[in-house]
Amino acid sequence: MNPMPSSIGWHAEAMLILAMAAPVLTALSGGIRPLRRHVPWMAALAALPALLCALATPLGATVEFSWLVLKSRFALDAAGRAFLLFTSLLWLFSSVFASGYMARDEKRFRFFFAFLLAMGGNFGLILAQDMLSYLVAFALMSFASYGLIVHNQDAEAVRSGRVYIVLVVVGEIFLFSALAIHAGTGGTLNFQALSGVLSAPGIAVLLALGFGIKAGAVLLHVWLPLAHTVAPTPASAVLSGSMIKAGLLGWIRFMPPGAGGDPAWGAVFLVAGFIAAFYGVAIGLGQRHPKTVLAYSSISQMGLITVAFGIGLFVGSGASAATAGILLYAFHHALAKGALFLGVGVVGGIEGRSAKRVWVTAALGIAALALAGAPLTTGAVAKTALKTAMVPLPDGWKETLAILLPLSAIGTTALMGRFFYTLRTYTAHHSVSKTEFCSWIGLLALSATALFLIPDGRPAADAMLKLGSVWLSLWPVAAGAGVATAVWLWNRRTGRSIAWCPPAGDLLVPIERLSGAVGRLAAMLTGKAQGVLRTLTQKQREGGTRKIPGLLESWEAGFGRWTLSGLIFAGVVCSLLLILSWP
Amino acid sequence: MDVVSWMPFWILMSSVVPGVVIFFLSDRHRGLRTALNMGGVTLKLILIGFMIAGLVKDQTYLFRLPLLPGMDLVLHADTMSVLIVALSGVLWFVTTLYAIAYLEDSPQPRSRFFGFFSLCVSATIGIALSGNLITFLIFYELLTLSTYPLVVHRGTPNSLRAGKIYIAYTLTGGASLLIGVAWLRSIVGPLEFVQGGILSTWPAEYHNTFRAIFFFLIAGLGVKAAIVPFHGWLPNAMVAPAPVSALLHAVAVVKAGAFGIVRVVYDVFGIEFAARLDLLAPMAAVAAATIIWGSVRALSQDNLKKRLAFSTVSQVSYITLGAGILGPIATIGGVVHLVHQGLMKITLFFCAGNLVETIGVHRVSEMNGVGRRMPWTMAAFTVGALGMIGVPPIAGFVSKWYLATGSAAAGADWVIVVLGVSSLLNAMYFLPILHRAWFREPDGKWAREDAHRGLETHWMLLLPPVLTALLSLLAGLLADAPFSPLEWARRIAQQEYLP
Repeated sequence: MNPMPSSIGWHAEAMLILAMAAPVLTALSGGIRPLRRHVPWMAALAALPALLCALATPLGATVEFSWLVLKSRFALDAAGRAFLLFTSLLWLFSSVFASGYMARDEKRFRFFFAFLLAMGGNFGLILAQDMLSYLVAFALMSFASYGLIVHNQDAEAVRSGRVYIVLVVVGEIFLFSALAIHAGTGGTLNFQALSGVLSAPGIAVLLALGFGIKAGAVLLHVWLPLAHTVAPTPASAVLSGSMIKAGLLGWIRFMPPGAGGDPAWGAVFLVAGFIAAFYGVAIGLGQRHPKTVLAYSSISQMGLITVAFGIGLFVGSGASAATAGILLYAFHHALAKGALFLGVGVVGGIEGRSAKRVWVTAALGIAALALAGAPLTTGAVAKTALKTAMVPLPDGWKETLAILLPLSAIGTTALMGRFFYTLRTYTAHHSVSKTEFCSWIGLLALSATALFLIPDGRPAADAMLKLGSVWLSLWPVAAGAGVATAVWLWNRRTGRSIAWCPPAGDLLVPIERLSGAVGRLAAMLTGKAQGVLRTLTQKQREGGTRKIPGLLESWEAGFGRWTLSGLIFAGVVCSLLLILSWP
Repeated sequence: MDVVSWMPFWILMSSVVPGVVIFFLSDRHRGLRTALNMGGVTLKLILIGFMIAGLVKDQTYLFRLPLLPGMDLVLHADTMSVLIVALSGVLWFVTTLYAIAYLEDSPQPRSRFFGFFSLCVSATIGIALSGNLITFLIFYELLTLSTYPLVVHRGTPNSLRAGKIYIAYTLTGGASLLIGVAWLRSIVGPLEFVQGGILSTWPAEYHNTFRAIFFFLIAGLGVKAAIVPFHGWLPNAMVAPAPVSALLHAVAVVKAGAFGIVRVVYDVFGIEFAARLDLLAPMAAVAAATIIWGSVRALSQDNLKKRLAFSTVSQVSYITLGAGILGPIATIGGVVHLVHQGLMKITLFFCAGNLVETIGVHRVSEMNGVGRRMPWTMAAFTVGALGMIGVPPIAGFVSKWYLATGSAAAGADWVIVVLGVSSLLNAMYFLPILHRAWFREPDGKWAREDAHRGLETHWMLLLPPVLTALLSLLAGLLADAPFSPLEWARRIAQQEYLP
C-alpha cells in the first residue's frame, strides 16, 4: 500500500468524497419539503463533482475511513479514472435529459430519489478499493435501480421489476457468500493485495455468476431486456451505459489476472463472451420495441468486452493491451449506447412523418455506425484496440477470434438496421422539449469524438487510421447493412416477415412456465398429503385453506400438542430419575 | 456496602420503584404517571452511563444478597451484561415514549399496563445483570409472570387465549430450565458466570450428565428464544398491543431466551468444553432449522404483525447459530446480532403499530400506497426490512458477515448456504411489502383516519421508529467506530477465547 505523496493534499480527498456524496446528499435533500422543488435541477448538476474528479484529481489520491463499515478505502487508479470519466459523463447528460423528460411526471421526486441513489452507488463502486465497500456501493446502486424500473407502475414494469429484483438478490447472495468464504479462509479484502484469480474454485464461480448477472452474461441476462425497456428513457440510458459496467468492473477488480495468466478461466470468459455476442444479436433481431433491440445490443456488446476480459485472464498480468482494450471499448459503448437510448426518446417525441424526424433519425445514425464499428468512428478505435489485445494469444485462439470478430460486427450492423426499422413506428408519451434535445445532441457529439480526445485512445486511433484497417472495419459494416436492406426489401415485396419474434426476456418465458408447472405439481402433492393427514387426524377444517401454508399450519399445531405433552412427560420422568439417583 | 459497586442494584430499582408506585395511581393521574415513567427511564440511562464509564476504568460492580445457605442473588456487570443492559435501557426509553402515545385512547386501565411494563423491564435488567444461574432463573420466571398481564391487556377472548398459550409454553420451559439448573447445582455447587465456563475441569464420567443438563437448559431457554418446535406462542402473542409486541416479544422476552443460551454456552459450559462434548453441532442444526422454518412460515402470513413474529423466530436463531459455531468470529456475529436484531425488529414493530393506530391497516394486502400517506414511518420500515434481508450497510449485514466469515473459518460452509437461503426468503416476504407501500396506489380511503397537525401521525409515535431506524443504520455504517456494538462484541469474544 503506497502512502499518498504529500503533493496531492487534502483537496484530492475532498474531491473523492464529494464525487460520491453529492448525488446521495441531493437524494436525501428531497426529504425536506422546501428543497423538494429544486431536486430536478440539482440532480442535473449532481454528476459534476464526479466528472471533475475524473478529470482533475491526480492518480493515487486515497481516502480511508477506518470507522466506516469495517474499514473502507476509496481511491482513484488508472482503471477507475477511465470508468469514472465515461460514467460521470453519461450520468451528467442523462440527468439533464431527465430534468426535461420527467418535468410533467407526478411521481418525478420518487424517480429522482432512486436515480440519484443509483448514481451515488455507481460512483462509489468505481472508487472503492476494498471488497466490502464495493459490495455496499453495488447494493445501493442495484436496489435503487428497482425504483427506476418499476416507475411506470404498469403490469409490464411490475413484472420486469420482479424479475430484476430476484436476480439482484440472488446476485448479492452469491457475492456475499464468495467474499465470506474468501475472508473466512484468510483472504485479503484489499484489491491491490490480490494476486491472481482466487484459487478456490467455488469463490471464483460465485464471483463470475454474481457479477455476470449485472453484466448481462447469457443465461443470467433475462432481466436486462425487460428492465431496459420499461424504465423511463434517461434511466434506460444509464442502466445500459454505465450500470451494466459495474459487473464488468467487478470482474476486473475481484479477478485480476495472475502473473502467468489463467488459461482455464480465460477460455471460459472467451467462450461465454462470444456466446453472448451472437445470442444478443440473434434474439435482438426479432424484437419489436426499439429499446429492447438496444438492450439486446448491450448484451451483445458486453459479450465482446467479456471476450477482451477473457483475453486478459488468458495471457496474464503482462496484458496491458487487454486492459486498454476493455477500457476503450467500455468507454465507447457507454457513450454511444447512451446517445442511442436518449435518441429513442427524442425521435419518439417528434411527430411522425415530419422532415425533422427524418433528420434526427439520420443524426442518430452516427451513433449506430459507431456501435457497428464503421471506419473513422469511436467503434473502430475500440475494435482496433481489441484486435491489438488479441496479439499475445496462442494461434488457435487468434484464428478463431479473427473470424468471429468480423461476424459479430456484421451482426451488430444488422441489429442496428432492425433498430431503425422499429424506431419508425415508435412514439414516446410526450413531445420532446428543448432540454432533452440539447442534452441528446451534446451526448451524441461527445460520443462521436471523446475517444479521439483522451490520451489513452491515441495509439488505437492512430492504428485505426491506417488504410488496411479502414477496409477491415468497413466490409463487415457494409455486409451487415446489405443483409439488413435485403431483408427489408424482401419483406416489402412479399409482405411476409421472416423475422422470428421471440418475446423480450427470451429464456424467461420457458423458465416461468416451468416454475408454474413445478408449483402446480407441488401444490397437488401437498394437497394430497394434506388430505391424507386430515383423514388420519379426523379433523374437519372448514373453508379452502391454501395448500402448502395450510399443511405447515397443521404441522405446527401438531407440534404444539406434542411439545407440551412431551415436555411434561420428559420432565416427570427425569424428576423421578433424579430422585431415584440421589446419593 | 459500597454505594458505587451496588450500581446494578440501583439500576434495577430505577424501574421497580416507579412500577410499584404506578400500580397505586388511578388512571386520571396521567401527568404523574408519565413523569414517573420518563423519570425512571432517564434515571436508568444515566446510571447505565455511569456504570459503563466505571467499567472502562476497571471498577467492579457486584451486588450480593444471600437467599439460602449456599445460594446467593448476585448482580454483576461484565462486558456481556453491559451490552444487553445498554440495549434494554435505550429501547425501553423509546418504547415508553411510544406506549404513552399508543395507549392514549385505550379503554383499559393504563396504570395496570405501565406498572407491569416497568416490572417487566426490571426483570429484563435483572436477567442481563445476573451473575449466576440461580439469579438468572429467578428473574427469568419473573419475566414470564410480568409479561402475562401485558399479553392479555385487552381482555378480549383472543387475548386471553393467546395468554393461555403463552403461559403454557413458558411455564413448561421454565420447568425444564429449573430441572437443568437444579441438577447442575446439585453436582457442581455455586453456578457463577465465569468467562470460559466452569465445567471444563470436571472429569469424563460427568460428561454424559452434563450433556443431559445442557439439553434441559437449552430446551427451557429455547421456549422463550422461540426455537422450533417451541415457538408456537410467539405468533399468537401478537394480539397484544404494539408496544408490548415491540419491546417484549420481539426484543426482551425473546432476547432473554437467546441471551440465556449465550450465557450457558459461553459462561457456564465454555465454548471449547461444549465443542468437546459435541453439543454445538446439534444446537447449530436446530438453529438452522428454525431459521428456515420461521422464514417459510412468514411467507404465507398476511397479517403484518404475524409476519414479523415469524421473522423474529427466524432472526433470533442467528444468535443461537452464532453460539453453535466454534470460533471467535462466529461468536462476535452471534453476540452482536443480539443488539442489531433488537434495533431492526423494534423499528418494524413500531411501524406496524403506527399503521394500525393511524390508518387501521393490519394486513399486508391493505398496504397499497401507504408510503405516500406515511412516508417517514415507511422509510423507517424500509431501513429495518433491508437490514433484515442483509443489505449493506445496515446493521443486519454486519452480523451476517461475521456469522458467514466465522463459519467459513470454522470449516462449516453449510452455514453460509443456510444464511443465503434465509436472506432469499427474507427478501421474498419483505420486498413485496416495500413494493406495495411505495409503488402502488391506495385502494380507497383508509379504514381509520387520525390526522395530526402537519405530521403523518402523533410525534411520539413517529419519533421512536425513526430513531431506532437511524440507530440500525449507524450501527452498521459506523460498525468499526470505537463505541459501536460490534466493538463490544469483539471485546466479549476476546475475553471468552483467551486461555
